[in-house]
Amino acid sequence: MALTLPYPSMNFVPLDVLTAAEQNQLVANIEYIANQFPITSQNIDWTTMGLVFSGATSQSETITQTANYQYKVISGLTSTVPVEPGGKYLIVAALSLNSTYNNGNTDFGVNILVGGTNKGTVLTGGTSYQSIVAFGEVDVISSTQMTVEVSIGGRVPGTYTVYTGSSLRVFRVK
Amino acid sequence: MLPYINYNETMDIVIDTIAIWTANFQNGLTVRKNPAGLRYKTKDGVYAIADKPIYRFAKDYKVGKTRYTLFVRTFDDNVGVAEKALDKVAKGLKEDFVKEKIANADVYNFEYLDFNIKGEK
Repeated sequence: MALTLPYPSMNFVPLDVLTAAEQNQLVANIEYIANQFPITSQNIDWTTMGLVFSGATSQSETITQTANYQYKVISGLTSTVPVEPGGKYLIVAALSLNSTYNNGNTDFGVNILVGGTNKGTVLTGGTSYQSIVAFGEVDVISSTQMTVEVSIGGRVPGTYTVYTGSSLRVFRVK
Repeated sequence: MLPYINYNETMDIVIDTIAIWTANFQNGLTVRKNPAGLRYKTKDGVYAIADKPIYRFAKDYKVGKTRYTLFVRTFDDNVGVAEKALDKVAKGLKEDFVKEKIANADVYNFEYLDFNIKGEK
């Protein structure tokens, strides 16, 4: 990922004495780099990633949550994908959905699960039509495949409709 | 207790002696003017305080696939002389030699070469 620093082309060799202004510039550069995280769609260089898997739901799916804090897997956004041991993967779930609740509490979230473990969560709220993008990062140590699932649920019971075209993508970070 | 740094061995400015370090990734010669007052080491190994500005000239070079920086500190502000000397020394360096010299380079580690500001041994 190539970043453009606020103060590029700073150069020093050993024993150089830096001025206060230069030290301020160094700090500004460090802060800029620090602020690049966590990962968002704005600071990812998609061209450096290999697309491993890309799938989209072919039909709308309605999910009913019956208990508080209950998360349910969206069946159209589940897949087992081949991975390379030692690789780093970025998983992106993009959902179009509607949600309704049994009472006024509208907080809910989308989880990315790999092998049943949560690797990324996006929390949101509201009952109207929404577009949500959730990110998850996985370091694969020894497996040759991983199961990726996207689940949805909230603080209180509710019903979610995930629309056609919602997608799940897995990228190999190079 | 502060960490011990052996300034005598690692942090000496030696005037008019060309040194090698890791690449700075700059195009062309860079110059830094340091005010009077810096401590430096004379050719006789004696420490002295500079009573005039010290100029630092540095330039990136590439040999084979290895990039590196040559730099020199001098009282002379003549850019042409410094760059000519650095270029002359760089021409004579082989990749294996450069790799060995910059293998352990960091902020505290660099190596002086046996070349003076005129590019001579």
